[in-house]
Amino acid sequence: MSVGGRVLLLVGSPKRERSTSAVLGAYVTARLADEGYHRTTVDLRKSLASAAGTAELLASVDGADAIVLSTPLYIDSLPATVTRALELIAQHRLARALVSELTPRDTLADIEATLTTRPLLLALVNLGFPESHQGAVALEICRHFAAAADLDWAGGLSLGGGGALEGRPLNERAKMTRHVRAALDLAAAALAAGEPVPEAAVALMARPLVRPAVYRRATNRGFHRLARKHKELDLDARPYGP
Amino acid sequence: MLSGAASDDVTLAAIARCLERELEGHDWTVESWFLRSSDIAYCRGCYDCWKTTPGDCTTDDDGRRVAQALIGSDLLVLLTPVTFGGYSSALKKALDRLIPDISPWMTAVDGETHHKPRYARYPDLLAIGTLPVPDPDLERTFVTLVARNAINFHAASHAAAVVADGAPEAVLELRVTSLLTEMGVATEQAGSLDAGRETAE
Repeated sequence: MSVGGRVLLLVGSPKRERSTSAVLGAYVTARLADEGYHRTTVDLRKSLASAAGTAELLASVDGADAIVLSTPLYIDSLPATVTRALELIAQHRLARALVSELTPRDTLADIEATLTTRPLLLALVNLGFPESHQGAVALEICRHFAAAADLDWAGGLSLGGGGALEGRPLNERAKMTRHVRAALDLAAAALAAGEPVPEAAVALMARPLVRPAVYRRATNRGFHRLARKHKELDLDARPYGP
Repeated sequence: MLSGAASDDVTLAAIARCLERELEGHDWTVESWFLRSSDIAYCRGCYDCWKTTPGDCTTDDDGRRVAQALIGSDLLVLLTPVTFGGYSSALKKALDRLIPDISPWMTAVDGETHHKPRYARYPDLLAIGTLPVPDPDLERTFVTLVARNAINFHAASHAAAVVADGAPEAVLELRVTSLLTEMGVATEQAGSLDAGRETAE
């Protein structure tokens, strides 16, 4: 891919602020901006809230050379907002491909232009669980989406324990995120070259941010603190049954 | 029974009819949700259901009622067009809102981190997806997803199957009967399942 393409970041987190998904995606698109790419960011939650937003999303996808989908893991897969956006994108891309097939082309250049406009898709999934492999099904779903939406699948990276980042910029936790940044650097370089994400990036991202046992203890400590602070709060409440 | 089908999906509608007929024939009570016409907001990811109103979502809509209906059920049935190997957005919207039914506390299960159960028992899980043409790759992803969900929703037993879109109702009926028998529904007493069995296709 030539220098100076267009990269589109799709943020799948429903959070309005301190989104780890936004931070991870922005890191990759910033690397691509350094390579001369023009970058656009779309918040999928906002896009789905209006017809104009959805139309803008679809146009952005069609105009992109590379797409970075960055999302949290919800119930072992993609959040419903992301799933809805992907359904709409796939429907739109299928309709577009059909129209394209039915449209007569006069020149070889027209045909070449059509064949070279498949954007690359990179998926980044961050998990509330510390084991990165728990994001594997979500990445499979992204791969299937790429096929359905006529996109080139560049690959995906799964980050375990993304909650530890608390939506802060990666350089604020430089030591903890060294391997995350290295993985994202490799992924960005691959996208810029129009190539799939290398295995080295997958392996780097798979390293735990925090050891799973430590992550569990820290998370539970946070809830213990919350319960101590708000004595009236019963975190084990069972409002719907025994 | 949660259906994430489109309003014109005749195959999933037929599967829902077969399931209702078969379950009610074994004295089960079936509560069906057609999610496309339900009022369910997207999960906001606020985690108030763990931190502020434990066990309850602060958004008062059908999503909250589905979460309530889950507890006390013996079997959760998911119906969906297989969508990129997963669930349709209509079904996923309801599933994302089930988080209040799970405890925030973390624990290790078979070497993996998961959340502890909030309630004493959870329903078994049966998921049926449809595809216009057979696709082993998509089917594998779907079956794996259901197995992962069974872990996180503390289902003692689960099964998943993908059937052909447009299959005749007689074929669907056979498939449904076979799945329910596999899960023990057809041979057990009304409203109870043989806990501890795990079946997946």
